[in-house]
Amino acid sequence: MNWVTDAITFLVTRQPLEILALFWYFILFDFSRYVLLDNIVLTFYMLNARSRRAEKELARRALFRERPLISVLVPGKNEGRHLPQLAASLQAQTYRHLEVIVVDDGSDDDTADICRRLLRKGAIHRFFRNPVRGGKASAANLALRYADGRFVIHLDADSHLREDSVETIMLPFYQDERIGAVGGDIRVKNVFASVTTALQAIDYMKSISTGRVVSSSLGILRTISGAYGAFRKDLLDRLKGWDVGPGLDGDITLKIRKSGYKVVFEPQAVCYTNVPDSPRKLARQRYRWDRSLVRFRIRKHSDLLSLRNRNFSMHNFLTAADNLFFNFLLNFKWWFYFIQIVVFQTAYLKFVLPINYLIYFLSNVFEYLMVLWLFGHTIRRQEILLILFLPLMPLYTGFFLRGVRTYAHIMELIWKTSFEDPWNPFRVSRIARQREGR
Amino acid sequence: MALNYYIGPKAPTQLYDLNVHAIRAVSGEAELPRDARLFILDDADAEAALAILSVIRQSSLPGVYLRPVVLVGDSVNLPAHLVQAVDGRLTMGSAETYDRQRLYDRIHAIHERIESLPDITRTPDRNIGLKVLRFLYTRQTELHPLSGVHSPQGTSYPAVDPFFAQVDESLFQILGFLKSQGLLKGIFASKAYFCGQCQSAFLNFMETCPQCSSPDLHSDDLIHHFECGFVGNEAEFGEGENRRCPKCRLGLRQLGVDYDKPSTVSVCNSCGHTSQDPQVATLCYRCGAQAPPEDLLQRTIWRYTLTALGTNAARFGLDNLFRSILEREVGALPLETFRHFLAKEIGRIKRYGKSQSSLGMFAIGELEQVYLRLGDRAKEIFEEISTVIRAVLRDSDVIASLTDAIFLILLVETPAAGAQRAMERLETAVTELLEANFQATLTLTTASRLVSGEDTVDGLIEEITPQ
Repeated sequence: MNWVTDAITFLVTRQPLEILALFWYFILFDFSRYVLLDNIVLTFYMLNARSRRAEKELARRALFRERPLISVLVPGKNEGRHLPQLAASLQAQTYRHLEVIVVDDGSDDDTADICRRLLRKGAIHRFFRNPVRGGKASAANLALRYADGRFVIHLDADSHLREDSVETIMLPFYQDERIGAVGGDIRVKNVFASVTTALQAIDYMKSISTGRVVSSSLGILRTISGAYGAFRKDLLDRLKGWDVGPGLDGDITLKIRKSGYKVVFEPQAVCYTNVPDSPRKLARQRYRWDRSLVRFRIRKHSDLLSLRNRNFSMHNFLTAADNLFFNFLLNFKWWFYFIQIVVFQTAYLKFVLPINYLIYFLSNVFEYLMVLWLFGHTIRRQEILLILFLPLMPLYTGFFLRGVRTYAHIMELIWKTSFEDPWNPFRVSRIARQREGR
Repeated sequence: MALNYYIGPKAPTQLYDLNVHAIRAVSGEAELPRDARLFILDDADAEAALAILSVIRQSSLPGVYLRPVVLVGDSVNLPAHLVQAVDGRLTMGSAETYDRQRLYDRIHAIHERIESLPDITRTPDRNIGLKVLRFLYTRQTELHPLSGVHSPQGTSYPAVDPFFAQVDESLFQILGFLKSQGLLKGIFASKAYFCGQCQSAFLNFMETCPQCSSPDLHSDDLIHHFECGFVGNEAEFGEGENRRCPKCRLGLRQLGVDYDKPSTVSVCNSCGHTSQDPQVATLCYRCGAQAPPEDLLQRTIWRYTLTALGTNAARFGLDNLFRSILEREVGALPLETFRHFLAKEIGRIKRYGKSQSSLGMFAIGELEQVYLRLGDRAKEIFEEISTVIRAVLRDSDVIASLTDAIFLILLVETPAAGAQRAMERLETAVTELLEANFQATLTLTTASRLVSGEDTVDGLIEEITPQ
């Protein structure tokens, strides 16, 4: 109790500039960008819900009038056990004119048998098998090659969709013909498998989904998730599909943007997917994801920031700049802030650190309440219960994820370790690295 | 006196060192001589020779259908099914004398075995199974299958094909029946698929489009370019030295280094559908039926040899000797009647719970040895065994044969101990009898079990019967 009184006294006796000096990272960056800006945008987004509903209704009618074939591409390795549930969720869709194309990328389990069984039952429509693994991009490109649909949905095999999800993800294409791709909302399937999955479930809704609603509203969405995204087929054909990853989803999104098309996020198009259930597996996954920021955004698509680029676009510039500033530069800056507090504010440490934790916790609570408002009827009971895990979020995002991200950025900047990632076959990574060298 | 008959277009009186009578043609059984020792057919007209051979083999008289038939002449390229159907050839080959002598020896051996059969001139054999057994017995040979276009089933048994008016399913059914009765032993030769509609073996297996069922397909190799992840068919990359990736415009260098061929697809030339799993369909050349392979009949093709039981049946007829003696001497019941009695007894015990009845079993192992060693004297042994059984059993007991060598006895109003004693007595008596008369030990197995009201007929029999 004494500490609380002391802390309040400590705060009220500080000058505003002192407060800024002690909490500048939160106030200048995290609060202004992720609390203030995000929630202003979200509020406008929600206030526009009625007019959006009317637009969506018109789009829905157009979709069902035209009834285009949609090709659902599911590339993967050793994912057979997940496919029956995915196929069942596709069969239960409100929009039925689908062709499901599964590519088995060198599985060494019973995936091929499962796929052939699903094919015989009509639960999937096309099945291709590469006896030797070629990597995610080549598997997706093989499926794309034989897709006949006007639109293409790329799905991870270990996911399944809400029954109105395909219908919903298609609507933006009928609202604006300049839209080239639509990202679906990824939610965690195995929410309570472990504390790690519960924290990721909050993270997916609070940071990833909400963040994408904001970026999409501002026209600076930079990633259509590989787990669930819809694309115009003619556009993917023109781009000749995906390039070699890891991070191929962010890469294709930027390529679509460069082609002059918009990319948007549709929060009501829900896809449930399994997430890593241990900190170790999660760290490995995020290490892979985070390196792609350096590999693709800093190296491959650095031209987005160039004013001399003849295809310069302010939206694309802001997309890249937002990403680099908040996810790359500020990531390092946070460590600078942390060291500054620990080394130079030793006397105040017992107040500064707990207060920082508290304000991050409170902003998490506020943001999560916004999430519940934003996702409305698609929220499940178990996702409401996640509120209980919110006190752990500052540790999870502030230290764990930030630690992995920083390590990934350094490793990729100095050693280009993404080219050694076993996510791609060695022979593919080797060639991709040689190309990078050229 | 038996004679050698030449049947053909010529009129020889002497063929090599054989005196022959010539017959120009034979169109029916009535025209066949009954006193033939050997039929000699001219090989100049293979079809005519086959037709005459069929008339001979389809005769019901053992003295006719079992006679050796040989071909004479020097025709080359005779159909294999004709060559394998006859007992030999008389040719002008280089080793003619040696070959001819071997043939004569073979014919002589066949004759000896024919003569050992009872009533070969008087009693006709109407049963085609018995005819096949007798034929194999007199030839002392394995029955070999022959695959070829001569038979609609794709496979036949040339040695016995002529016994059948036409080579169709009945040939396989008869041989299968003889095998199931333990008269022939099957040795695996191969497996084959047959049309599910007409049993023809002449099928065209073809890959068809899973979408439109057209067999007009071609294959495309896919290329995966490592640098950019592009996947396309080979033609998209161009030809020869100047192959380039259509996505990144880089030239292809070396397979396995900068690109690979991850898979092959089948493209339908009719509807354009592409898949990696073209459906396999079969088209029957005979009836035109198109079907997936899983609807075909799969059949094992066997080689056949005569068993000792088969030998016994060939010599003494198809009726089971021991079983018929038991029926006559001991009053053994047909199995179905015995099962009926047993079911009633189980029901009676269940209802009243006072009686104690038992089921006994005795099995004679290597019964075939009795036939093999004793031939027609086996009958005497079986009559002796029957006498022993009759002495051990009471009038109220009921006996039936489960198989040729396993017998069941329902010992009514007999507790377990009594039944065990009865079966032991039976075992001792039969063993002593066999040892005294047969100078060999046969394996005799006995068992008994108290019948309970909770038993089922099948369960009880299965439990007591040796595996």
